Amino acid sequence: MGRYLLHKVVGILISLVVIVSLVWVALRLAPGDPVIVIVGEGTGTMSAETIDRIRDQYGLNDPLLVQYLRFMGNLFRGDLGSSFGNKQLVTVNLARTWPYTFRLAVLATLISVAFGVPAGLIAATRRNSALDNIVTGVSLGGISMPFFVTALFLMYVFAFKLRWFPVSGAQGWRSVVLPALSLGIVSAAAISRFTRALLIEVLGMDYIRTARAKGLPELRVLVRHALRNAMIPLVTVVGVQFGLLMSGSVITESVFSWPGLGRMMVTAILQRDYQLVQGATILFAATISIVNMIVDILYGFLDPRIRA
Amino acid sequence: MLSKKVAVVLSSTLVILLVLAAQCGAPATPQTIVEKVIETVVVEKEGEKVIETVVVEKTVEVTKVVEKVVEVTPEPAEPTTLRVGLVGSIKNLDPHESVGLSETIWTYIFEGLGEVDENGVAQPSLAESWEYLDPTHIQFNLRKGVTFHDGTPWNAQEAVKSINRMINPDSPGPDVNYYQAVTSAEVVDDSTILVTLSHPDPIVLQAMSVSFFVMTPADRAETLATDPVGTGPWKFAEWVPDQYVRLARNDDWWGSPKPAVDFLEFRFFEEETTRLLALQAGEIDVAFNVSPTAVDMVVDDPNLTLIKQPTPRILIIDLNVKNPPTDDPRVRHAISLAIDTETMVNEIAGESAVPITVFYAPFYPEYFDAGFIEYDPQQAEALLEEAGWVDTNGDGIREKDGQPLKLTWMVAEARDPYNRDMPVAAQEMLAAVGFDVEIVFTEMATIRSASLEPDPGPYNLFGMRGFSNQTFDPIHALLQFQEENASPKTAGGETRYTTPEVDGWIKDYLASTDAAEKSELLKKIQLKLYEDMPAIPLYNAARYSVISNNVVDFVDHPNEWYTYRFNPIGVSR
Repeated sequence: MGRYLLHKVVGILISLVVIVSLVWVALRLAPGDPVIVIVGEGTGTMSAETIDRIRDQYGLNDPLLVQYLRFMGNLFRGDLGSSFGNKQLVTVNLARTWPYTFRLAVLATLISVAFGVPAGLIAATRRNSALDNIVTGVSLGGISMPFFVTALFLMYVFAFKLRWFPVSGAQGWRSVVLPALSLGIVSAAAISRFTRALLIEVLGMDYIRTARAKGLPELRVLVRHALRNAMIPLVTVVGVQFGLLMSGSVITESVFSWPGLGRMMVTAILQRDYQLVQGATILFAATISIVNMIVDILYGFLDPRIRA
Repeated sequence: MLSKKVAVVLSSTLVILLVLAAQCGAPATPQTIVEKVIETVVVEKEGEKVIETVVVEKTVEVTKVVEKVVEVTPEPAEPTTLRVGLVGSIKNLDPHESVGLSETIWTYIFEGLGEVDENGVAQPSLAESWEYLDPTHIQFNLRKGVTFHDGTPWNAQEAVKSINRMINPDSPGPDVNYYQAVTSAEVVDDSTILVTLSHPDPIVLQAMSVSFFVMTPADRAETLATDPVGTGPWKFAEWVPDQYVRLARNDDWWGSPKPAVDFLEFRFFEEETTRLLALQAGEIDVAFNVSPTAVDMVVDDPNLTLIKQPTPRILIIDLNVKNPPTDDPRVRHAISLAIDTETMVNEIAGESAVPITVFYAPFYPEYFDAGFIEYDPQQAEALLEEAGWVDTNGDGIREKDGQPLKLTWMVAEARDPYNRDMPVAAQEMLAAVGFDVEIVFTEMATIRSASLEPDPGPYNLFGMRGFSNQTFDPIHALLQFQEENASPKTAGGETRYTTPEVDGWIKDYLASTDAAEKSELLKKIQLKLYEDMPAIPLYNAARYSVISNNVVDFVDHPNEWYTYRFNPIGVSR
């Protein structure tokens, strides 16, 4: 296990360096730079000479290779630099937004599993019944509905009409409910469809017939034998969904004015805030890698064959 | 089937979850707190409204009742907060480094020597008065006893340091060119400064009174971006990025009217729809600078009032006079003639915009018809034929020497509300006379980079280009035609057009103090621009605000971004 982990961690570090280098290059390929953005916001004009002088101050006129090596050097010393926009350290910016995204992602994942798995289970055990058709239909609708439509619908009903939750913002626990629901519902739909498909396959297996033949109660057959075997692919799907949610859900965060990573990232890209985009990319890549690693470890607990 | 059992178990779990969810979201049930002292105070809490009922029980111990009443009265009233919703977010609150949405906020924290009033005239603010010693020297007599919010005194030394910070060409401040005539400032005595100009500039006082020509403490220059300290009626209190900025009333402020509420809170929204729903739900009191396309959503709400404010902001299309085929004035005239500006603006923008025929708003007395608005597609086609552009292969697009008549149009989509609809409408009108128009929707950073590229530059049309005009002088949008402002020498002179005549007339205008002469110059400049056609004026924009009916004494200001001090604006709850 220790060796396995070491192997994984080294792999993650290498892919982080590759990813952040790619993002570094992509950012420089995009037209404009942070100085130009500041000029763009103004209503007047600014002379090319002035722009050049300011670029000098930020080291943006150095050869690209020099800039890249400087960036990598700082990175290995753990220095992600400061945001051009608010001049605060990138780490400070990330530490501020990350908890919001984390809270939203955890709650949305819980909601999606709590609704998705039972719904899939019901649909699978009552295949082709009216109940199955309802679950399948609703989840198809849930997947097909664009995020912002679900979000606006929930906002209109629960925040505007019923006034149960605030329309937007992030003050108090109430404000996380609607964004989490709107994300959770969509994932729940995907998870229920996936669970249904998996269970239908598993329920056709020989060992299920054996279990039934032994006279085990159906609930036990379902939970102990069927669901447990369907778990591994399911954990992968849930893990991937969680990893994606952790890199910030731009649309949901925007609609609900939720101050998470996704919203920060979009602004940072538009403002050509190089340091902040790079820092956030490292965080995203690291989160997804770590979530994947945890999923791998979970397999071991779920499936004794992998543990061995 | 045993699965029935499963279904029952599972559905009951679902029901429990739903009930839990519903419980979580249940509205705050009316709480009744009964406090028995001598009198009974019943406080009913219902949403935002607090109804307080004080029932004094008549007992024998009368003295004690009085004692208690005295104790209750001095309890401070609930602090009042005016909540303003803004769409977008900010990164920086340093007034010399940020504009746009940041300006909407820091304008309440900082003050300048003067401020431009609603008629476009500079009025004293931190300077009590000023006088011209000669056409290039202005003496400012400063207000005494002013302090920054941190307690440090503001005086002539501080004022000079601030001015030097603003006129420093290396400062990344976006709008240095407003006060380009200011070359230096020096201390005369503790409350007098002398400002030297490079040349006589009749609008320099307005320029030195714009919202971003403000006084900042020199020793805090590095931290102003996140901890702004000024002299204004509001003190910076708290900033939770992407959520809100909170300002507190400055009780030591010298001016009037004093702020009517204790706190001014700016909340950030990413979506207009969300902001307006929050306004309707009572989470904010004012939605400022509302997109005219969303106004319909709230217009029927009896609890809200829609306010329309004319502004000097105009939008124009820049034509690149260096890049073929728009290097040919006949092609540029054909473009202008092929676009039915009047119909386009009226159909798309409705009441929120007025078509314009020159490069400033119709409310200026110097407004006249310079010819730009003329719509004549036949004439456009004739001009194109004359320039040698003929559709030889019958595909609807004209050709010349085997090259199609192709235009590249760069548009900063997010800047103004119709930056998608209008270019798309114009694209069709241009296609009708044989142009092939490719619209590139992008953001300002890309456009400013393109504007710095050497001639001819990678675009033919650029716009919708907006000019907010804080000095209120009609010359504002014409300054881009000054020789030193043309791209690629600057970012922002996208037409790349210069002629000695226009350049000279603009300089004459800036130096003149004779109203009749200035009006004549404006006319000459724009008739020459019509002849050379480096840009097409489109419309003058109004700004909308939506306020909740509990907001009292709302005043607006004809400036693009900020309302004229929130001071007198109160809120009743």
